[in-house]
Amino acid sequence: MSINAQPKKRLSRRQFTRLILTSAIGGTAVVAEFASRPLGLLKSLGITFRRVGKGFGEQSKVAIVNASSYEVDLLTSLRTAWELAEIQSVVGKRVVIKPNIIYNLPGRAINTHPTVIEAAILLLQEKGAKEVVVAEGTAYQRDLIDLLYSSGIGPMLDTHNIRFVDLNHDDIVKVKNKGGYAGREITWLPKTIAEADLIVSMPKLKTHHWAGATLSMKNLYGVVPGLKYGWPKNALHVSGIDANIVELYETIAPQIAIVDGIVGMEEDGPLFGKDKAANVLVVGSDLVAVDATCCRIMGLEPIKERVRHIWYADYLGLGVMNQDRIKVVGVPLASQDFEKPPSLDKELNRY
Amino acid sequence: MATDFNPNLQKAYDFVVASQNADGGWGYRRGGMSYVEPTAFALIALFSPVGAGGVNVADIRFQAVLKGLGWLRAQHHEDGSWGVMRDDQTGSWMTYPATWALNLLLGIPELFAYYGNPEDKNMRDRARGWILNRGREGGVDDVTFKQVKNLFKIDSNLRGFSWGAGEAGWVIPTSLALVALVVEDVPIMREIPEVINGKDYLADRACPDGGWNVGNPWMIGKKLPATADATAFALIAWRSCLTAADFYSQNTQVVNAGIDYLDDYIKKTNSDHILVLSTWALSLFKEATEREDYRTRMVNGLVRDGQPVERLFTYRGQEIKKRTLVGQDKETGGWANSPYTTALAALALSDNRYYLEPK
Repeated sequence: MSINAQPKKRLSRRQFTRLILTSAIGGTAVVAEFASRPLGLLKSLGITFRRVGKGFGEQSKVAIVNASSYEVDLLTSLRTAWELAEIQSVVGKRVVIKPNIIYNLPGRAINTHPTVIEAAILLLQEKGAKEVVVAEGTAYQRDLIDLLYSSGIGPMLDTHNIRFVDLNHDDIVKVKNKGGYAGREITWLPKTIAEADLIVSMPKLKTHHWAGATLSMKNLYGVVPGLKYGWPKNALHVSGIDANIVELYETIAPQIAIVDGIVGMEEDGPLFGKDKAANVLVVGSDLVAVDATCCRIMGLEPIKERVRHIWYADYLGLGVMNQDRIKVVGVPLASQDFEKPPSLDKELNRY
Repeated sequence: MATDFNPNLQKAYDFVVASQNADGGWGYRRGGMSYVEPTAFALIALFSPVGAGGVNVADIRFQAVLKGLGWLRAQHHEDGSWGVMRDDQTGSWMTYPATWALNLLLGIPELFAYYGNPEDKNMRDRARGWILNRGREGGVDDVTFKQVKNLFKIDSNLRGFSWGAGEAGWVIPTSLALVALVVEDVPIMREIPEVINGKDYLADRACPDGGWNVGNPWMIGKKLPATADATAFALIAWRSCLTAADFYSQNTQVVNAGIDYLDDYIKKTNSDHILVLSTWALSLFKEATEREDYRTRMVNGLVRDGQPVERLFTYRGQEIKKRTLVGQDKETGGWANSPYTTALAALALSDNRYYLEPK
């Protein structure tokens, strides 16, 4: 028996070098893909470019104006803030105002005050909005008519003949997520939100026992339909409060924030804290910058360990939170030293 | 002499039929997209012997039920669940009212003779399986149990039913799931461990001052007050689940406190929907005279000496009068322009409890 031995084929130096280089590039790509999960390599690269871009771009403008009480002329104050913050034109746009209407606990500063919402309605009409609608998908009850009346918002809307939409029971549509941070490809949104040209998030200046602070980005939780995500929208808590907040912020229409900081809430917000007057309205179109500024007004630095969703939104390049990247216009930022919220185990979010 | 609400009831059925969507389903408002929950409740209402479930049923009602059931069957998922609407492929809490409707169809022979399909039983069995296995919340580990007990004063070993598969249990879905399970066979299903555990869940989640809210009676040491909608659904569930044994337990106190809460709330509400839902829940527990009072108010809205009454609100010192409680629309027969609310109103007006005790 003869063995037909063929000479072993040897790699040339060039082939060897090419092989090593290809392996190195491929290996690096695989490692980078795994390291950047759940976002993935391409998304991470996009975020890096976006962050770098934010670093070189103009500072985000946030306007702070004084408002000593709910009885004063808030329309003039808000108009000043709007113009100082150089908010985009609303001419011909369908605008949805999303206040923060949660619970009827008499005597507590829980819900966005009707006079601030009224000032926003009048300002948007004055600026040429085609339609102004007020909408909320409250988290703790299915029917919010009584809450509208007990909060004073219902009578105010009747006065101005403004349409109110219950986002929890609106028609819903499937919207592709832009970020992919919460492990879902889509979010169900009320048609009123999906078809809006502009959403004005109008939270109250409050601490929050789970999220650190509840401001214009966290307020967006209220746009998701209870029919799909339940009451109190806990499906979003389970898959990560922070990830879902930034996902909503990135996915839904361009937004503006008007924060009711005339009387806010300190300590155990969003429901059981104590009233705390800050006597300000805060306005801006970079919600990350607005929320970071509001945290500083409350004496709460928006660091990762304390108000993670603001840090996360900044990290993802959706806005800026660092003070040197924010241009505060109007009155100077003055910290009010709100009492901090209790620190709770995030594992308990499901409840 | 007792008021005859049958004309109101008939107008309510007419409204429900007239507001059916072209696809066969019903929405939360007239012209709104079809969802499973309002479709299930529209069917439950129309199943009444004086609606579309008795003899000499008007063809228009007969066709509406056929079409509605067709829509509901078409939305059923392979795993036994229903999503919230047509394009929703994940299982949801709307499986509970859909199963409730299916159980009535299967439990009332005349109804099945009119509208039943051979595959309905299999569909219901799969739905029951989904409710018990996927709709019911899972247990928790000891550490979480202790933390939850500390912060919220609730027993997380009691397993309620959730809005979506794999999530925590909450009061409204638990209430709907309990009824959906029990109406399949009242004497038997009331005694299954999952239903008994569900009742314990509701008792545990009751607010300290009476009634229920989403499911958090306490929030880090502070009382979170009840809400009317959760309380009404919980009371309806209790009505379907109560057994003789409950009258010797704390459950009676919990239920009575819920009734007291709702009885007080119904006088203050400005919402026609809450008025309807509360009337339904309270009418299941009250005597004829009180039932008539609730129903009269639900039908007429806020009136005094037969004249509509407006409520007075003040905003920025300005007085604003508004008739918040309108009652049944005299023209259309509906409440709040909503087939969903109107279906619930029809149940509130019905003395026949076919929807809790089908036979």
